[in-house]
Amino acid sequence: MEESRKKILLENLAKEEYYNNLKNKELEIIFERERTEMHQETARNLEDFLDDIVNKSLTGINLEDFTQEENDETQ
Amino acid sequence: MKLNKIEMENFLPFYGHTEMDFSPKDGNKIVLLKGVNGAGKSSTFTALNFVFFGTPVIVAGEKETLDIHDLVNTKKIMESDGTAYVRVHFQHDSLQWSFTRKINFKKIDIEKDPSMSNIEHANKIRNEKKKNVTIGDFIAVKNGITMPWPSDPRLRKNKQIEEIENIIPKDSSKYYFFDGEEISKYTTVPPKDSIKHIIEKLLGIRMIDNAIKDLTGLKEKKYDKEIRALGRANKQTEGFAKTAEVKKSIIDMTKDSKINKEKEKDHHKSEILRLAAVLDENSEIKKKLERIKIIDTELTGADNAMIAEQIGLKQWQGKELSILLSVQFLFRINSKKRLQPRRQAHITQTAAECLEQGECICKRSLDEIAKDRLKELAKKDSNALENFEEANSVILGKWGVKGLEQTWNLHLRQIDDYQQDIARLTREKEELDSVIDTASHSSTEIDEARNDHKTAKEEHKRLSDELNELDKLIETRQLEYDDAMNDVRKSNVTKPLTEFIAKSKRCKQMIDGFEQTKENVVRIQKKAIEDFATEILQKITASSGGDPRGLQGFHLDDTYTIMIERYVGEPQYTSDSPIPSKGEKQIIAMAFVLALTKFAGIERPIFIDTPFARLDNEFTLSIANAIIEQDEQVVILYQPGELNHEGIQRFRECRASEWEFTKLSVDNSVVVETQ
Repeated sequence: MEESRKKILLENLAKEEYYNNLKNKELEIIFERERTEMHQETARNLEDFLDDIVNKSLTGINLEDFTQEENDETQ
Repeated sequence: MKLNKIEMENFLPFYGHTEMDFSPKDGNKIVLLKGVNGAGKSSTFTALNFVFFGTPVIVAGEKETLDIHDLVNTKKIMESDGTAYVRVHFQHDSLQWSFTRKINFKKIDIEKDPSMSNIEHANKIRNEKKKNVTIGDFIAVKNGITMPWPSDPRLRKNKQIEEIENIIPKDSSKYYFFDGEEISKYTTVPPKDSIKHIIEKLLGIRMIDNAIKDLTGLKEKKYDKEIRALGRANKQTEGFAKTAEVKKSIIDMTKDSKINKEKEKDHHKSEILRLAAVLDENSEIKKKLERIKIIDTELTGADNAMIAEQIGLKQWQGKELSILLSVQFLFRINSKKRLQPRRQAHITQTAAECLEQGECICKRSLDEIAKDRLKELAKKDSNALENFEEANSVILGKWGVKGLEQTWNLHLRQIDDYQQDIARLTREKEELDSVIDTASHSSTEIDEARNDHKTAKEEHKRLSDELNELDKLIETRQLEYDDAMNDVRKSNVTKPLTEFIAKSKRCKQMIDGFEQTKENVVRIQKKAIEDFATEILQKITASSGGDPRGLQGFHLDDTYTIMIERYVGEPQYTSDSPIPSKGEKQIIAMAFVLALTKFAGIERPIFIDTPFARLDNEFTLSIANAIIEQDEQVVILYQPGELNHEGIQRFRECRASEWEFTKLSVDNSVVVETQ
C-alpha cells in the first residue's frame, strides 16, 4: 500500500481511536493484522487474536463503570 | 516501483539472452516498444507478470493465458536441457531490488512426421514440453543481499507472496496492461467484484471491511451470545434475555432477506449491462448495415465506371489501333536509316512482313482495321511513301508516340484502379457480412432485449427501494435489540455478565471506529479519483467544448461503476442513452485509468498497447499529452505502421528509450535499442 494512502488511513484510524477512547492503538494493530492476513492463502480466522485485543483493551478499566457509562448514555 | 532493466533468457520468442534497459533518461520515463504482431512486444509484459506472480497472467486484454511450459522457448528446448528465466531490476521505496524466476527444462526430441499437419506438430511439441518443464527458483535480492526464505514450502510461498504483494499486488495486475482495442470495456463491463475489490484493496478499505466483519462476528457470535445465555440463566434477566433473543433472530432474518435481495439486485444489474451491450451491438449492426448500403452504392458506381472505361478502351483501341500499329511501323521503318534511299520499297516490304507475322511489334494481334491499313501499304503499286508520310503526320500530329502510349496506359490504369476499388469494397462488405452473420439478432430478439432491459431497470430500481427500506428496518430492529440487550445489562447483572457486556461494548466501539474511518477514506480517495479523471477528461475533450453531448465530468457510484456528466443533463451510466461512442468510451476509460494510476496508491509502470485504437484523431495528441503529464513510467507498444501517428510522434519526443522487436522466426525474436 502506497505511503500517502496509508498515512491518510492511519491518521483516520488514530482519530477514531481517540474518539472511542482506545488507548493501545487497537485499530491500527487490527488493521495491520488484516493486511497481513490478506496475503495468506488459508482461510482467515482472527477470533482469538481479536478477543485478545479486546481483553487487553479492557485491562485496568473498571468494568462496572465502563458498562454503566453505556447505560447512562443510552438512557 | 520503477523498472530499470528486464532480462529474459529462453523465454517465449527470445532465444538465448535478451535484455532491455527501461531506466528513465533526462527525466523522460516513456519507453516505446515497436514491432509487428508476434514479434514479442507483449511477451515483455508477460515476462513481468511471470517474474512477479509466478504464473503468466493475462496477455493483451484477457484474450490469452499461457501455462508455464508455454513460456519456454521452443527452439531452445529442442536443442538442449537448460533454464529459462526472467530477471527484473527495479527500484521500490528507494531500495534497489531484483527478482528472478526460473523454469527448468529438459530437451525434447521430436521429428516432424510428414503426415502431420503443422497444428498437430505444434500440439505434439506442446505436450512434450509439458512433461519436460518444471518450475524453478524464485530469487529476490534487496540492495545486493539475497533474501532468505523459510525452508517449509508453504511458509516459503506465503512469505514470497507477502513480499511481492507489498511491492505490487497481484490482483491489480490487470491495471498495468491496457489494450487500446479493449480499454473501452472498462466503461461497459460491470465492475462487480473485480474492479471494486482491487480499488478497495488499493485504498485499504478491504482490510477495514474484513476488520469490521471479523469484529462483528466476534461480538455477535461470542460476546452477545454469552450475554444472552448468562441472562437466561439469571431469573431476574431471563425475560429481557429472551426478548433480546427474539429481536436478534428477527434481525438475522431481515439480514438474510437483504442478502437475497442484494443478490437479486446484482443479477438485475448484470442483466441491464448485458442487455445494454446487446442493444449497443444492435446499434453497431445498424451502423454496419448502413455502411453496407453505402458500399453497395460505391460498388455499383465502381462497376459502372469500370465497364465504361473498358468500353472506352475498346473504342479507343478500335479507332486508334491502326494508328498505334502505324506508330510501331514507323519506328521500324525509321530505325532502318540505312534503307532511306529505298524507303518506299521497304515500307511495302515491312508492311508485308507485318501482315505475314500477324502481329505488331508489341506482339498485339492485328485487327481488321490494322490489317486493312497494312494491306494498303503493302501494295506494290500503291504510293507507299505518301501513305507513310500521311500516317506519320497524322500520328505525330494527333498523339505523338509518347502520347499514344500514355493514353493507352491511362486507360489501363483507370481500369486497374476500378478493379482495386471493387476488390476492396467487396472485401469490406464480406467482412461486415460476416460480423453481421455471427453477431446479429433478429428484430424479435432485439425487441425482447429492449423490453427485458426496461424490465430489468425497473426491477433494479424496485429492489434498490426495497433494500433502502430493509436498511431502515434493520436499523430500527437493531435499536430494539440494543434496547433489549441494555435491559439485560441494566438488570441484576453478575460479574461474568458484566465482563461480556464490557467486551461487547468495546467491540462495538472498534467497529464504529473502523466504519467511520472507511467512510472518511472512501470520501477522500474516491473524490480525488473523480476530480482527477474529470480534469483529464476536460483536458482531452477541450477541443469539443460547447458540444451539448460533450463530456464534462466523471463519477464513480457506490459500486465504482463509472458515470459521466455531459454539458447538459443528469449524470449517466455509459449504458444509458445517449450511449457514448467507442471513441468517447476510450477517452472515459483512459481518464479513469490515469486517475486510478495516480490516486489508487501504488506506483508502477503501465503498459499501453495501441493507445490510440478506435480513437478520433482530434483526441490522440491530448491523450498523449495527458499520459506524458502523468510523469509515470509508461511503456507504449506500437506497430511500425503507426510511426507517423501524431500521438506516437509526441511520445517519441519524450521517450527514455525505444526498442525495436524483429521476428527472425516463430521462436526467435531479437530486440535492439533504436536511436
